[in-house]
Amino acid sequence: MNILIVEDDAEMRAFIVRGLREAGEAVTEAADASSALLLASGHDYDVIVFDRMLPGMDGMDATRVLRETGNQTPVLLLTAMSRIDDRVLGLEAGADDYMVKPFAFSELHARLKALARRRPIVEQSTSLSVGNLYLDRLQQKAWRGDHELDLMPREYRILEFLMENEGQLVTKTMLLEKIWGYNFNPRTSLVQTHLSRLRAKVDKPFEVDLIHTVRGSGYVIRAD
Amino acid sequence: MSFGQTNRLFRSSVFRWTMGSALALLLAMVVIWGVVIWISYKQTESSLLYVIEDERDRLIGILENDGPEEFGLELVYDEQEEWELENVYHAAEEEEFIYRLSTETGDFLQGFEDLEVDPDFRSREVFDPELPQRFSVLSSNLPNGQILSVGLFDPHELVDAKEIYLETIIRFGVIYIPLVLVLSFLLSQAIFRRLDRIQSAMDGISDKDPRKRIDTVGNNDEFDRLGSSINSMLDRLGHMRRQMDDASIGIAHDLKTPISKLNNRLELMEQDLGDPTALRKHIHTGKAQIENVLDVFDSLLRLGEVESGSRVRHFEELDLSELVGDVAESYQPVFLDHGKALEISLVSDLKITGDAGLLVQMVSNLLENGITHSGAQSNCWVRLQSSSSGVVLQIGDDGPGIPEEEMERIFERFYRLDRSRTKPGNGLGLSLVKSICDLHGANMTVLPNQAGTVIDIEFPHRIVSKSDQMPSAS
Repeated sequence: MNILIVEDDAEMRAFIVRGLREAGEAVTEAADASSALLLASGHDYDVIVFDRMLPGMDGMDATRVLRETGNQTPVLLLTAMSRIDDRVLGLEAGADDYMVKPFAFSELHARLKALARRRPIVEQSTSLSVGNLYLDRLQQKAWRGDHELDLMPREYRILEFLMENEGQLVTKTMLLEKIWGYNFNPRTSLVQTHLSRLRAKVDKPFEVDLIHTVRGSGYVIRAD
Repeated sequence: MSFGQTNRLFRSSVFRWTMGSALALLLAMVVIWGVVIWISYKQTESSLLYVIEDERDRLIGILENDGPEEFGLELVYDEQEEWELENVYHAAEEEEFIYRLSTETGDFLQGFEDLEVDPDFRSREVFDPELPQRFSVLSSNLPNGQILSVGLFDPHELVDAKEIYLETIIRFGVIYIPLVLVLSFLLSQAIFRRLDRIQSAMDGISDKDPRKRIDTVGNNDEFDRLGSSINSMLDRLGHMRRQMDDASIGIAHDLKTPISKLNNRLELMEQDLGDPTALRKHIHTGKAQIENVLDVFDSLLRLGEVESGSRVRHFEELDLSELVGDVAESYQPVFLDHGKALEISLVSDLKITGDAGLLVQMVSNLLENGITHSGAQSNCWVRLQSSSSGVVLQIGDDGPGIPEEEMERIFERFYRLDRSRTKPGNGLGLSLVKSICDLHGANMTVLPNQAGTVIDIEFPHRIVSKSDQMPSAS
């Protein structure tokens, strides 16, 4: 992935850049919005990370300018505050995702990967498959080989989301936002419980496990 | 009373007000007394005028009927045509009239020469300044062109009116002013003493004992009422202070525990430097502990955001039945995993205006309380129905419940029934629930006398319900 990081706080920028480089991503850094916009006009990035608060033009305005110039590169906004206003305004300004500091690096990486993927192609296909797991979006059904899985609607949606991100980490927060659709913060094992029920149906009766837990971060579905 | 206190007393508003009003009263009395005197003076004067006019008319009658000779005889004194001063004094003593007859141009003809020819009736001081005798004079033109002046000495009250007035005022002032001084001193001292008591009580409260209260006399006067409202203010402040103490202790505790654990963890890491597997485990645990700390701050910020009321702007009409159903069903497997049951019974299509994200958080907090605090194998339930005044959401369990005396405090920040703080949670969950209720104008009550904990949340009326009273159990 080719990623542009726009963050004025040097320590935070170093933390993100180092993590991404270690994960094998190509990273370009910028400390303010105007140099970032200049970079974005000359290069084709897979995803841009804007800090919400920047000296001069802030991240939200920069995103708006970017969109006005016809640049459709996915944007993730970072903010220090979890105010819903910021979230709503950020998404309205044309950002594709939004994260609150502090965050786990794995969470940021997972979200960036999800943003950078060729979303339209995945979302348009009517079926998804991972190994011998097959999901039909028109019928909203899933099969493991010839065996049809008996899934509750929510379990189906979790499986679909995992399969859209095959091989990629899907964090608990991403699942909460995507499946429950609310920005809330459960204290109990709500997500884990649902995942373990899903795995009991998708993996348990079969020889090969497809859904894997990434400890402390989230889940990943893959065939190997 | 020491000099300092007396000095303070004289400078006190009470003393100044008492003195001020007493002086104002004195001034009012001086004015009223003056007016009364002036009116009676005027009345005496006009009755005097009648008497003088009668005499003049009598003399004119004599002049017209009996001729100038008879008329002239009326004006003599002891057969003298020209009066001496002593005649005048005599006349004054006898309360008799004095006369002066003048020519058309005012030249003296007969009577008392010093009596002035005056066309206007008036009183004047007379002749000998040693004797403060006054008399009134009326001069009239006679039919033959001469001028007749008739004088009469003022009766005593008229003469003395001014003196009486001044004398009364002075006497009154001599008695009244010291009396006022003494009275206002005593009065303000009495008031001052009570205020002093309140003041010293308050000084004591702020310096030494915050639990001390102001004594009230029990007669429910303004000082008693002031005292009791100060007392109730102190109670409220004390309550808030206790809450803040709890909150500070809560913050300190909730932050200290994970941070000291993290500290231990770092020491362990130092020992396990050679063992990458152990190190990874330590890092993982350490991160979880830090997340705990961040979680407390996140909850506090969220609480602050809700309490600021800014989210009202994002209110929209939403289907509460659907929202509650969605969240509750999501939690059903979690309840099962904890060996508990969650029964859901909702009337469908109940709509309210609100913030979906916050309401989900609210229901989720209440359900998680049910999971964490209801005790093993408890049954929990969620009910939603319409009531006469709105929509009622009930979330309850048959667990150990909340002790009656704790009920008021459970919504306070960082307040935890579990004082040892061994169970998960940070004591902010119910505060957030309460704030979300307040933001939605909803009324939250913990039902008393229940087997477990039963919380009713009543949202104000906003029902668009078609399939009313049709519980959809699941």
